[in-house]
Amino acid sequence: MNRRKVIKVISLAAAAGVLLPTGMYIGSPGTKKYAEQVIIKTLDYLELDQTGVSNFVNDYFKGDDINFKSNLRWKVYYFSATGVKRSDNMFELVRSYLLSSDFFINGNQTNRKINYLGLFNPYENSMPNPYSYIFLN
Amino acid sequence: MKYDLVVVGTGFASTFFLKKYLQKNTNKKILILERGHFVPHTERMKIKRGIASDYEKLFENYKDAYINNTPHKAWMFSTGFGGSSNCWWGCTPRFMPSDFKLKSLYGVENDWPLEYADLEPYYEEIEEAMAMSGPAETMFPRKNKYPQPPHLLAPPDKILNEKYGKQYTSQPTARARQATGKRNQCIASSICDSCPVDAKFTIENSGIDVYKNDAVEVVYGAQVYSLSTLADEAHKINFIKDGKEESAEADVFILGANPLFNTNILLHSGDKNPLTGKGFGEQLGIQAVIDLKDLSNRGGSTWVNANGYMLYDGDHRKEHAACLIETNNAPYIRLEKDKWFNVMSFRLVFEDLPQAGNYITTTNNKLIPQVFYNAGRSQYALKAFEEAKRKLPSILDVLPVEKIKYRQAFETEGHILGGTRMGETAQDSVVNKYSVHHQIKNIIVLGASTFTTYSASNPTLTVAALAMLAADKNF
Repeated sequence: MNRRKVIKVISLAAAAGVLLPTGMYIGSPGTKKYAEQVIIKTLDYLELDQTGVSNFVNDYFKGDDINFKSNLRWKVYYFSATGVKRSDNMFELVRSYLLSSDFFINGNQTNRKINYLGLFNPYENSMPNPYSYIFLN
Repeated sequence: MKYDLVVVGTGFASTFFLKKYLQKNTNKKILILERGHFVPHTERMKIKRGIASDYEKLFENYKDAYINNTPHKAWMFSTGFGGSSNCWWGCTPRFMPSDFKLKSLYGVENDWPLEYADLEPYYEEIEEAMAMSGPAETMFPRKNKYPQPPHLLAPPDKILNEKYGKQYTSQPTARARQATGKRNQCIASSICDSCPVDAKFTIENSGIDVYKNDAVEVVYGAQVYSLSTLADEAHKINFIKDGKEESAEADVFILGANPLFNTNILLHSGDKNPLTGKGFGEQLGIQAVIDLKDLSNRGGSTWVNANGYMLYDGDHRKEHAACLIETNNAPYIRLEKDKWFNVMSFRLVFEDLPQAGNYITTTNNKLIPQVFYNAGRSQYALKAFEEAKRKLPSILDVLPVEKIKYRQAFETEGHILGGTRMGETAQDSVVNKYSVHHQIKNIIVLGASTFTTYSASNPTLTVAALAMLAADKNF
């Protein structure tokens, strides 16, 4: 990596407020683990079935090419205090988890454990859109 | 055998043309040349659910059907029986009367060679045929009620409707509010391109059985590339079927393909008009995500609950484009506790202007057109977006708005407009007000390629109305 690229990487990391210690990256788990932690951290007001979260993440990333860059990006999201607000990818991940769970089907109850039902597919769910008036009837 | 008519395509334009034509003409022989194949809705759903279907091999990847020289701008379409009815989202506002008079009202671009009143009876007929749902009052003039009641508004929509009246109402739509004999009731799945409950109007579920008429012969897998012409009269249409050259003779030829293929066929047929292929484009769409404090947006009964016209008409169109607001009911969820549904999604749809630097032309492969979007978006459209950002906070002042976020422009609105525009003469256009080609007078060009200007409104209803007008006035 030449000097210009090094400066660019450091600048980008600093801009995101997430200068990761080298050891933290080397010793940390992979992308899927961080994706799980992003969901748990973002929805910390809900009790999530941990196995279900892992299964969801496995299904969500199935077929994706997880490489060094995507691994680093997910770590950045996790360690960044504002990552969830900034990242469309992370927002989509958590949104997809909620839609794939029984949370909306059970009336958005925050006092019950949330279970993963299967990766959200609007062609297979009988009531795919929680905004629909059908959910209110 | 010589046919009375050869029609290219089986989408909205061809279907509504034939509906009117067959009402008026009997004992005719009509050949339909469809590029793709018939894939039933049930098979489409199997494919969407990952279930094996013998029909899967019949789909054409639209990206292979043309060359996009400016790939940052996407152009999407669907080939096969029913054309874009298999991928549209069922939004059916009429154009506004002012959309046909940009030049005379605002000094911009050109007027269409016809007026709103010329299309009104056909708008009405199509709305009946599509069993459309719509509000009691609209911004464009209407004589009768829509066949179906309006879709349900969500709570923020009701507040805006109370303030703005018919400027903010339920969207006129071909997504059924009530089940019809052919379609189920919309459940707001928000995946309308392939509706899982078959609530959206398609040519397949339309009940307009023009393709079963005894006068009509349909050939699938027929890729039309040219017409043979002599002394500015077409006498034969040329196509590839199963890898073989074929042709058919007729008195009149109807081009009902999308602008890419209508243009490609004309340019291979001796069309000498320098305007052919020029000035194609589409509207500019940008999403505004509106976070609301303590107000849920749940309860709508379809994908686009409402249309807003607060930024549409007015003297501002001398300076910048009209904007149609589509209030989207897709599951755009907030992640904060107890605020999951406190968010609205506006799709701001801006009209754009035809520009010569955006054009369709031929390639060395006679079946494959190419597109250039070198001029890109007009300042007329871009300025309108800046104005919308400035005005939206005050427009929404009756709602508890926390924040408005604007996203990048959508890659496409799914509309391809212009390229063989209509006008008074060959000096300013390619076809006349009845869609007849100025130079080769037994060719009628249908579809959105004939639009003189783009409007901010969805094009389908106007595509169908122009096709019916052509069938009514030319035969």
